[in-house]
Amino acid sequence: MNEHEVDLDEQRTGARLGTLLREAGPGVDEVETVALVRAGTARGRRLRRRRQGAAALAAAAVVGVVGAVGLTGALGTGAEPVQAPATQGREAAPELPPEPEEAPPARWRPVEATELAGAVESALGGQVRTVATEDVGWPIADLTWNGFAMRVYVRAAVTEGDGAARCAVEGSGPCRPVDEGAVDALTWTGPAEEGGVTGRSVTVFDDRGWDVGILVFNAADSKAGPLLADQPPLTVRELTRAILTGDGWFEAQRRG
Amino acid sequence: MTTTRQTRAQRREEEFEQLALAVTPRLLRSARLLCGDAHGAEDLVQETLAKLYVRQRSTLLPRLENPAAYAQTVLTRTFLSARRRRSSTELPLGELPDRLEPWGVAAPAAPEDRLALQAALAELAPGDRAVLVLRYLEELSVEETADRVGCTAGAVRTRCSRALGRLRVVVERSLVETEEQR
Repeated sequence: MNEHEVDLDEQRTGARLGTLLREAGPGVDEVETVALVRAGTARGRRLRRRRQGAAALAAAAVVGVVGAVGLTGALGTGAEPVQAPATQGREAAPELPPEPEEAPPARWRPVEATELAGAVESALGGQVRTVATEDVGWPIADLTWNGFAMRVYVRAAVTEGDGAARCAVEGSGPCRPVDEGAVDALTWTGPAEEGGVTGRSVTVFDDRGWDVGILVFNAADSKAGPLLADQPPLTVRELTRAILTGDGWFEAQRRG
Repeated sequence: MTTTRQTRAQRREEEFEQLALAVTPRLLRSARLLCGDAHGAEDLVQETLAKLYVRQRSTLLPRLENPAAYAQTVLTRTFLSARRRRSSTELPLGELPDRLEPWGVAAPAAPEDRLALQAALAELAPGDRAVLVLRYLEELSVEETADRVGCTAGAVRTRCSRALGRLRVVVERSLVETEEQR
């Protein structure tokens, strides 16, 4: 058979296979559908609670670490060496327990939310202005980049697995493998009543256990016009490169 | 303020329920072909719906443009990653398990074709099975299939060609029977 005949043969086999596949199983009745939806929703609620719990735990850990560092700093600045008061007559623990293996290494802690603007400027250049910052267990910054709305975050992984596995579960679009991780990219246009703003997001799920994301919009506000351009000002490739080559997302990178 | 938030949360729950009711029959049909057994298929659909729920309720990420396509992608990738995890501990079965039997409810294809197809599908690599289901059951293009599976269009073509070759005997016997019935 020549190439054309092979193609035709595959089309014919494929068409019949489609019919066979459609006929291969019983139909799905309404009772079965409702039961599956209920069970799936319940499982989704549990999963969501677990993730929120993990985020809260991460936030508490950050607060704890910051508190401990603050206390150590305050105590250490006096002229005389000062000891922390003993609690209930017990000696203070001699040292912190080692971090569990699955936790991202401490040296890869993300920078503060207020420092993300600097990270973006270092990675992408341009005029960067901070609009708002938030720490929800990980840093998030709402910025403008050359006047276009932008959101940046560095989040500890909330699902299990290496970058590719997490991207497959959490990503919105196709995942592309990169060195030590995977990239998810998505471009979408919001509803007209919110200005019809087009957004583009790129998230790098790295094998160390962090998700670094940048969302950029074609307006100064992500949820309101006027539109400043037809498309967001940065391509998926530029955003991906900025995340992968940027050196300001983690404390370890800043220290060099 | 709290009431507004509750109303919004309730609305999103209702939106999710409508979406889930709409996509579930299709997800289940694909899942049955991918998994080869009813319990595995139901578990896969539940897991997919759970991930869809979390994604739909996320306030950090943008709204999904095409939630049905997203759900199908999650289903395929969840199936593939579960198979990758299990591949080191699974043993190939010499014979088809009995659990394939409950599928045979009033399906128009000849029973022997149906069973032969299920047996042939079960022998394919999970990735090949996923590609066939997306291409010929969901009728997606090569490029769309590549996006859903997370591989290149070339890899989809190769997998399709290889898998069709392995199913050819079953499919062609069914074709002959169909033509004889005319």
